[in-house]
Amino acid sequence: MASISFDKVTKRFPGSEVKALSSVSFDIGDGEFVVLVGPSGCGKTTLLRIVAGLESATEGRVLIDGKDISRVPPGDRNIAMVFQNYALFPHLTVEHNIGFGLRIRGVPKAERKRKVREAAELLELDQYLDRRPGELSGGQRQRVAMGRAIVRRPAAFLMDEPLSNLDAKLRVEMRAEISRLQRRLGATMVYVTHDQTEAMTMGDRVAVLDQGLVQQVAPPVELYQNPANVFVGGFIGAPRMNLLRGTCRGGTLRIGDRPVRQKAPNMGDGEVLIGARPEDVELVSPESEAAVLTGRVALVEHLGKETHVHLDIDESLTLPDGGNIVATSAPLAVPQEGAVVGIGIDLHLTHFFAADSGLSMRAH
Amino acid sequence: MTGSGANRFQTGVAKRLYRWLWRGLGGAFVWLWVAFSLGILAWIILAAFKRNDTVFADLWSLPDSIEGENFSDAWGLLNLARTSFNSVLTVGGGTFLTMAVSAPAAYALARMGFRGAGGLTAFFAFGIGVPVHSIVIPLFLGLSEVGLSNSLTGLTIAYVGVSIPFAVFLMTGFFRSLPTELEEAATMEGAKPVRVFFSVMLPLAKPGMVATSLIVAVGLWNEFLLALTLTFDEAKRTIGIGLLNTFGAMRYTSNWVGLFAAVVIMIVPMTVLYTWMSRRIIEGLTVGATR
Ligand SMILES: Nc1ncnc2c1ncn2[C@@H]1O[C@H](COP(=O)(O)OP(=O)(O)O)[C@@H](O)[C@H]1O
Ligand SMILES: [Mg+2]
Repeated sequence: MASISFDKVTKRFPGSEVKALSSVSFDIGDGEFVVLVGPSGCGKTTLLRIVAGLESATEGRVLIDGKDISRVPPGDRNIAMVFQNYALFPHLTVEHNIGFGLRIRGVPKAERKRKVREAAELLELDQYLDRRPGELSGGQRQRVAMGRAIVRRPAAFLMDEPLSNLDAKLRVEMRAEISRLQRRLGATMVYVTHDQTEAMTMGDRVAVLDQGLVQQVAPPVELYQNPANVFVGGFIGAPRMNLLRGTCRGGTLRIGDRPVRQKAPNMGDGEVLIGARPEDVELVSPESEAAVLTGRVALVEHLGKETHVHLDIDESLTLPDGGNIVATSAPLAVPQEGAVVGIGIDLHLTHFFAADSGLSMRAH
Repeated sequence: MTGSGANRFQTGVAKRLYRWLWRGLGGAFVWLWVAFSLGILAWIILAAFKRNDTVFADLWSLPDSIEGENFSDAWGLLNLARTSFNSVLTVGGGTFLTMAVSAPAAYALARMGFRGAGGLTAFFAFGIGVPVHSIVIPLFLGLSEVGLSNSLTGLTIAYVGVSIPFAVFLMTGFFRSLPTELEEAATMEGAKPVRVFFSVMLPLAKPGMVATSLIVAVGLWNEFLLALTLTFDEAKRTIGIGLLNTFGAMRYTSNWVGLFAAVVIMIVPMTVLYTWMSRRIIEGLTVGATR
């Protein structure tokens, strides 16, 4: 099998000023399922293509099982890739699509047929072996692309947003199925997505990227509970973490002018960003002691199990793109739209980030 | 308020009228052209079955009796057994070789991204514009030099030479329109570039190949100047030259209907082929546009 290591991988596309990837370094263990997640354009695909050998790093190395692979051609890396648009060969049947790599490698026909059949059965494609991709549904095409990847039992799989073209229901099903498949095959998996839910539910570990920089590599729960910086805090979790501007002076935390009547955790004086997840925001009476600030209810979204309450607050307290505050509340305790409510935040449950660097203050 | 509403209504009507007028004019022109072309074709086919003494008496009458003899005359005048064989050989061989050279060349130009690829593509585009007349003499001298003048091999080589620029140009555009992901997928599966080309890109390029080779073949079938200058033995003549000879013979025999029959024999195969394949040709040429 295979472990994959990134050693200061940097990529600058010809004619482009900015780096698509800046000094990316982390390790993926043998048989591990790692999800690369980040907003569109952050460099996920580029990193995956460098592992695949479809792109070369400007600087730095990629090691597979400790060996630098930059001079190994893509077909000899013992890696399979599932493309975002599947990239099935439209002129070949499902059987020949799945068996393409075996054929290239000169696997005898009988063995090839057997292996293709096995893979097809695993993916419930056995009735469609004679069809061409044009005659399949989106979900089936996706399975064919997976079949082509698993049939030659590569040491590692690379998947670039493989579920992004499926409808929501199928996406949830396939999410579980891919996880199962990976566990069953025991192969290393690098899975790219821009969807934080996929990242949280699928990966053993998640690598968060932004603007070509690795922000944090950690198991999903760790990312959620201990985001290394304000970007990770905002990116992981839905609805997203609320961020408020605050200042800390002499052990007293203020949001705007208003001092928070709770003991703030130990940190130096200075500007901070206070991150509170929607489920940690409490709606209280505006006069209540627990209210650290007040807001006006702008929108109430009923999701059944819970309710999202969007609150307008003083704009100087939020980040420019921070928008309003969102609180999740039980369906019964929902205030009217337009009502003024108090916002309670438990400082033991909040995250603190340095306003200048964005780094978490708790981790240090 | 009502006035401006009425105004707007009027301009709306005017606009629609205007558009309708243009569309009507355009349609009328197209149909006129189609009718004219089909009319001439029909007239020649009709005339090919008539007799010399009645053919110009009533231009649009149906033939009173089918003169199959015209065609056997034409067969002899065209030396059809020989000329059609030569034409099929040079056009078929020329088209096949043109595609065999142009498809890989076009793929390389479209995808390999080597230095000077852009310049080379432009060079081929330029080649389309070079008139055949300007290269006939050098071509003849060159072929003579290597002992290939007055030979079907020489003519075929010349055909390949003049067809390549157009074929490469057309196919380059076609290969560019195919998704790169498929090549990458094949590469990931272990295919080397030559294999990628033959197993994936060539099959995908089939519509474009069919369209290109048909256009090349029709052009060569109707080709005249090169055939006339590069061959001179009766035994090396193509069907186009056969038609010229028929026309020459006409001066002495006034066998008009024989000539019309010869024309029909020459144009029918390509017309049938074109009509039969027209949908494929259009598909092949527009794949890039609709993607
Ligand atoms: N072939 C390329 N040429 C130039 N720039 C590119 C190329 N591919 C990607 N980029 C740029 O690199 C950055 C990262 O792209 P990508 O890896 O595709 O992002 P992601 O997959 O995370 O959405 C983007 O800014 C993108 O515009
Ligand atoms: Mg991408």
